[in-house]
Amino acid sequence: MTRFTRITSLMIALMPLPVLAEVQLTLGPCVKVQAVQGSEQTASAGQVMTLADGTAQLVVECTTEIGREEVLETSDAFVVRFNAADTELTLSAPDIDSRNEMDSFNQQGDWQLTDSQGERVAFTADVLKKEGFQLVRDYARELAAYNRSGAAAAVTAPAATAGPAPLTNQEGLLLDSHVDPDQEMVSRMLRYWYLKADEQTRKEWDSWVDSSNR
Amino acid sequence: MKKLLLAVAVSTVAAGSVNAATVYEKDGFTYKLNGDFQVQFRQATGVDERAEVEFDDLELKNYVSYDLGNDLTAFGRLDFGFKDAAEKDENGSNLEEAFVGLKYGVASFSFGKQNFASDEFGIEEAIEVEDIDEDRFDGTGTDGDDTIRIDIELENLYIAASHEMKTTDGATSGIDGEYYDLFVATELAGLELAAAYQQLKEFGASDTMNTWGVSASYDFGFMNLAADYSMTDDKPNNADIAQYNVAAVFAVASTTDVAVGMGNVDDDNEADDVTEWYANVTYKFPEAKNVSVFAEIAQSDVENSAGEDADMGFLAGMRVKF
Repeated sequence: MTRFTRITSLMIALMPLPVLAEVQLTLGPCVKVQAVQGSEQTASAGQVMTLADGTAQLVVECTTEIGREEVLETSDAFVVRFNAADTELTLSAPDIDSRNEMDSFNQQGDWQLTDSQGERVAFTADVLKKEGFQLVRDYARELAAYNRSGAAAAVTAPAATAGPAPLTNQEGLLLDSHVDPDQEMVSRMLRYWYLKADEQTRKEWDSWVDSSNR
Repeated sequence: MKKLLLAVAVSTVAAGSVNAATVYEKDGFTYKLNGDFQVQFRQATGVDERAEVEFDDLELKNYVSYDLGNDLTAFGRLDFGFKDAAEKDENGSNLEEAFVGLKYGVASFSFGKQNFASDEFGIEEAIEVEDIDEDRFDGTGTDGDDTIRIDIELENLYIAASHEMKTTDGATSGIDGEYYDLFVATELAGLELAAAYQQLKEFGASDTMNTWGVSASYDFGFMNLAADYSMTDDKPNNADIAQYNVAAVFAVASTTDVAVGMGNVDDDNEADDVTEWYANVTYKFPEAKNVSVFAEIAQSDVENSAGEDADMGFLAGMRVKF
């Protein structure tokens, strides 16, 4: 190997190469992130978030000015879950100019997740509903309850909580060795009856749980 | 160990996030509270005007709704404005809107104290105008307290119609006429088009004043360009009053908008027409776009009785919304 080749090889080896081992998520206009991977983190429109490869779960909402009076309106909070690796994505909402369009967005949850080529990326979105006073929301706690419910955009093991995540089985039931076996049965029965209940009964149950100051 | 969350270049909330607009939501009932506070230092366009602190918007807007099922929603709105209380040292607030209604699918019906359909008209982008109205409808009246209104919002067509009932409120109460208003807006290949019509019969008058207007606006990406034209057939005075506006808004940065525009009013009742132009800049803080600061310069060709030209006006202020 010539001296020139050795120097060139050494320079290439030492050169810092750009490595995309993560997901860069850009937030479109009106988009605000309230929680990431089970913990409360906020980010606003236009900011870029760096997420780990794999399954990402975010709580997002869209705040925009509607009507001639430019009244601020915020959408429902949505849980958005997607799988991605080594890529750059953009999460955006459609243009919302009226209360009707906001209502429609809340019902359809038509967020748009696209890659750098503008191609649509698959994701699951679901409303994170809270009943009662909305002034202060504990998204981390709500998200933990949401994930235990096994709903559409739930993840079975929240990825990044402050402490070790509670173990769950395939049905989303708690599998903690320190938990009383009776409580595991209670958890199993609650889930069984919840899945058996019709929509109205589930709403009543949700309201009762919320009003019970859990 | 897999790196779960590498970095988030954002702030972290310690406990609980604030959701400003929706206060309460349960069992189909929703209560929203919005606020709009805008205060500015201003020296108005004119001769020998003095700078002062002005209150543009100081509003609290209450919105309640009940889901009645089968796509039917009952709603009510109550808006309090404190602008006059702050500006004129009056006690208490001013009730700006108070109405209830029903919404079914794309259509809503409301009645009470509210804006007319023609209030939706206009493209003017000034923060304050001094010597002209925003448009002809702003000149004849765009809100009442005996108003019935219907709004229909289709896929690509918005229609609003309103009727201010004939009342004997008297001039001191503000609204003393009978109004029929219609507003239609649509979008064709990115071009936003709107038209409005108003028939006004002032209380006790034998003739009506008919006002109509058309507007167009197009977003070129780097600039939104808009224009409107409106005219009042002032039959009681046997005169026509015409007004046009042209405005352009440039998004010079994701946080900053610059707007320039002008308006001209040609009133047969007056000897000269009036032209007013303005340029303003609005900066929204990236961390909280509900907070903005703004500045504007404005000038008109109005002269006082001694023939002196109006001085340029300017203002600078801050707006906080939630």
